[in-house]
Amino acid sequence: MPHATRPSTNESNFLLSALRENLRLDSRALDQYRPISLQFPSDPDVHGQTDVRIGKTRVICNISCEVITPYPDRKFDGVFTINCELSPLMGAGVEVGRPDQTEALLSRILDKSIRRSNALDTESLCIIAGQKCFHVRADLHVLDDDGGIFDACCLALVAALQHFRRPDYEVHGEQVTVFDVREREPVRLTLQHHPFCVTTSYYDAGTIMVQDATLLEEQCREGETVVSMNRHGEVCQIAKYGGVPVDALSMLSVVNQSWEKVTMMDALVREALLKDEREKDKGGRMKAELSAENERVMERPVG
Amino acid sequence: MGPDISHHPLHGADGSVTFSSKLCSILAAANGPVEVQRRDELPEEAAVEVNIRPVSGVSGPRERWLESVVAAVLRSVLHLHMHPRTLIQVTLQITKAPSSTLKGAVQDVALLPSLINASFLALADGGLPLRNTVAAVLLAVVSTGEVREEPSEKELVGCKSLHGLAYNNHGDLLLSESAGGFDLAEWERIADQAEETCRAAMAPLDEDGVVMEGTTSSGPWLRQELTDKAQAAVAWREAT
Repeated sequence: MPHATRPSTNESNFLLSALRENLRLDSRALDQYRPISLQFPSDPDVHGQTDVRIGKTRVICNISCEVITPYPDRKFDGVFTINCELSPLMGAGVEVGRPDQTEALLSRILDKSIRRSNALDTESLCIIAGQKCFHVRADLHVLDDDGGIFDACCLALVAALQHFRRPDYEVHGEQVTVFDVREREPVRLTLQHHPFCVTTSYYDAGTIMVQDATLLEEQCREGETVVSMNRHGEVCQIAKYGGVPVDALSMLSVVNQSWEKVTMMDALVREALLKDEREKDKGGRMKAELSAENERVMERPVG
Repeated sequence: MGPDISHHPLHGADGSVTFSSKLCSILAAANGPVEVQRRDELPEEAAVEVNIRPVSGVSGPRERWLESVVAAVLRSVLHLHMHPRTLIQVTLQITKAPSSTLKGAVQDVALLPSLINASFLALADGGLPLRNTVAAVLLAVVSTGEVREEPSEKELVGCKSLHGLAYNNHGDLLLSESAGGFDLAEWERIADQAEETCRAAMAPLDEDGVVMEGTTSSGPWLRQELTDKAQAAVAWREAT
């Protein structure tokens, strides 16, 4: 099967000598991100779909949910799964049906930073303990890879989870009624925090650190660390790949730098979500009045 | 008014297109000719591989079936003998699917014409040698017995039968998949209408850009797309 093209020796030497002079090929600062764009579907009834672009990298995320029986050993928890499979949309180098290393790392990183950091409260997905719960499923599709897919996927996933609405339900004894979107305003998911991934690449035995590397920069690097944290500075996971040794102090500075980026991403997502909500809020104040969480007005019998 | 098409949205794939019709939107990418795996290698022609990726969930038997149908159509469109012992890879990412409340067979047939159109445009964008032009159309017989072109989701719910047909520019039938109940006479009527629509989509234009033969509501959208693309590709030459 075809492989992704590797940069030539000249290309990588040029990139490295530029980096030694604090220059990047796209004239960014070493810790600067490419412009991030975040799009939601234009249809106001569609929730939980995001399209994230960081430079030329593009990822779409789709959240769906269904009602299932919970696992017998986890009766009080709903199920949350993240599914990411790379496809030849990224280029001919990807083989279908045979997960490669990037794909394995990607799903591991997302699992550690979002699922196992309890970003989504799975207990809130339980409907009747041991019988019914929601299965929230996140599908990530990487459309274009120009470096930084960890960061892009994490951002897309967190934004999609915040954008998603699950159907409302009502329990009467053993009877569960799940309401259609048209019957009752769907409900947001309970997110406990919003973790984001920041990847830092190392060059020259760890002396040069670069954030948001492009594909070419990624192919030339010696090692990387992926830090997942939320805007409060709580670190969810740190993963370090590649053979280059990194001393503890520089790790601390990486974490601090990542925090800065995470605050930036969090603000960006929040702003995009607010803007989306404002644009789609055609009902204005009526929306609050129509919310399913409001108390129901019981009509008094006549006479 | 034809479907909404944008060319080359992806950087990694050789050719790509986003195709949105009333019912669904599809992101198609074509790579090729690329190196082929030993077991798929054909000594005298290129192998065609189609991958369909649903919006949510992993692809199952339903996608496998759609893949086989699309691959058969593409095989009759591509000049396969020009690249023996290689692979032409088409990936179709569905980004918006018809509502899941529809019946299974109706859902599948409703997707097919868009899949064919999207993959054809992706192949054209990727610069792969093509034997002929193909256009696919979706026709529904609604409850009143009328035939609707490119029906809306509402019309699909109560339709009697649904037909996805594809014709090339010589008027050869390349695809016929139907769901629902109908008789032969009805199918023939539908096939005639489909042929007319497909040929109208790629009807040649005269010098002033006026359609020369046959007119329909959507106009010669496929011909227009390909002309625009070809013109954009040589724009640099005219500018200098």
